[in-house]
Amino acid sequence: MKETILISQSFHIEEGDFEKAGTATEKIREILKSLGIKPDIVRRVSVAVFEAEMNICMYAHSPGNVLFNLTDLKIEVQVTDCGVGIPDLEKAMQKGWSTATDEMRELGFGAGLGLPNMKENSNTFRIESEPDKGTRVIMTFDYL
Amino acid sequence: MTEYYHSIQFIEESCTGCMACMRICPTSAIRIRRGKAALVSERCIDCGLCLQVCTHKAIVPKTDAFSTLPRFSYKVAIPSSAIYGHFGSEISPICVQEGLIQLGFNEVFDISTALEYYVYSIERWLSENRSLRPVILSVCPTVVRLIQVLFPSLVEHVLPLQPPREFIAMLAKVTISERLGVKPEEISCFFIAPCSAIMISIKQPAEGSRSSLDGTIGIQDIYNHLYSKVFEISKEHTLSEPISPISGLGISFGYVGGLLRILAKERWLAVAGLSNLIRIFQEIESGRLRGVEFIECWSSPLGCCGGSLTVESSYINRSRLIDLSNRFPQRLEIDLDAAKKYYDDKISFLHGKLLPRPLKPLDTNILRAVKKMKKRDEFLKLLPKFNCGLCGCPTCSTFAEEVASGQEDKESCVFFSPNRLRKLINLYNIDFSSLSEDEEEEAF
Repeated sequence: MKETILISQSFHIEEGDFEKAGTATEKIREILKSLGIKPDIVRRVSVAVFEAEMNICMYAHSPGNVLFNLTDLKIEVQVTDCGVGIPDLEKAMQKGWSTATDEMRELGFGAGLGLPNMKENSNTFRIESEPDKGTRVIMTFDYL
Repeated sequence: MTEYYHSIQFIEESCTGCMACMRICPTSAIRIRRGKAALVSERCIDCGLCLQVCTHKAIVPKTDAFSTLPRFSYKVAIPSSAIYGHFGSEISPICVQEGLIQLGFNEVFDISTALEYYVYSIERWLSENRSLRPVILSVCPTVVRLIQVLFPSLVEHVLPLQPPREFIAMLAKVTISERLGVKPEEISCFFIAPCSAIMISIKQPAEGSRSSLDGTIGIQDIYNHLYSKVFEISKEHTLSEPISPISGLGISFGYVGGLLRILAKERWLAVAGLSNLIRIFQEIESGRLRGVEFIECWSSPLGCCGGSLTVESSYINRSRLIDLSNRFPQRLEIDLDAAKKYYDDKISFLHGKLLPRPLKPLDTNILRAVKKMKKRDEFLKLLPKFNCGLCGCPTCSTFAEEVASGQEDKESCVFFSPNRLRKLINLYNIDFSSLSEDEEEEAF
């Protein structure tokens, strides 16, 4: 059976803009709530997308993009940036590993839970990164 | 579908259709139909803002009238701390307790004792359940319903303990029935309430169990009777011992941040006011709020002291409560073995499970829901978006949603249908014909 995209929306994420970070999460959450997606799934998508937004905002050194697709089978979120990339993916996936500055930690971030949190909350998680080219994360969530 | 009980009532004859209630409602639960306000029951969280904003007495609280009290044989008053700040800073809460007895209550039980058990249970719950943070205080019935309806995924964050007012009612019934040898059912406990919302927590507890309270009497309703009594008592007597023990903690429970102030906790927040609550719940939902252990939440901007049925200005009330709280011992001693037993035997806990109560989606079938969402968004683009309210919905976006889901006709918008405007002119009896030409020039 062919998978059909029902809704597709793309959100621009600005680097270093802490005030606006989270707007994509909020819009996606509103869409999912009006469609009657189960509360615990809405919650998991929110947490994962918010982590992704914050990652771009804090670490990418370039603007990025969140692409939200709702298909008849699943929710897919693609997060891309053309920033500095992650040199050691294996390390970045470990809980507690972080390159956050003191300033970010002041804000309550940089606990080294970003990527692990995204992985934990999604049903499938794929990440690819190339130094100085950027990073792409693709997460999917089952909602049926 | 569950029918929801609400603590407010709309009086159609008094309603002018002025839209004040519809515009202020934080959950868009009011519509104006045929010129009268009507409630969308599943959206209402009983915050009481409509009650406060209505100047036509067309929305009234469903509390028990003070005049019905003689019907009950053995009556216990459980005053909300918010009442203590209603009588000037020189009037002690001790006089207020005495005043309640003179008004016909057989006994008064203050919440201060229950609060000590409550604090014991909060601390144990926090230390035994470390994985879920922040934990949300569940004393305010409106806060609990706000979470159930708009933030269903946060239901598990809500502290599953019985509020102190319920706990003290239970204790009162046990104590009195043992002492007098009567059945607990023969004793009626009334909460002297600062807001209408308490009524829903008694009639239809959010966790689906039974309340130990039998009714509420609004502070507004009892105030005039109590006022003169309390002043007489304060002049004639110098009372030194309260009828029921009072603590600084108990009095401080009447205003936002009181719990934090007395307990001096780190990583605890106090948040009040619906728009602030909505913002902080959104932050919790996306995992944005970090390092916070516990949140004290109140629907009214200053906590219970500013509830919809209070009489005194909420700011004055709060400042008096702070003053008064310093004149009593900050904490009461309780029997720790009893506290432990109440906790271990689950008596301190809510007797049911709190469940989410999310709003109806656009459609239960995802394909149809998506279609309706697209229709909604397309239609919204056409609307003027200045939320005139003439269609009977609070905002253009609510209207678009209702049109998309088939509950409303797009002809209800005056910009779509000149007919609608004519109907409204008739409905509201608007007639400019008596305006003479001169006046007309002046008027415009």
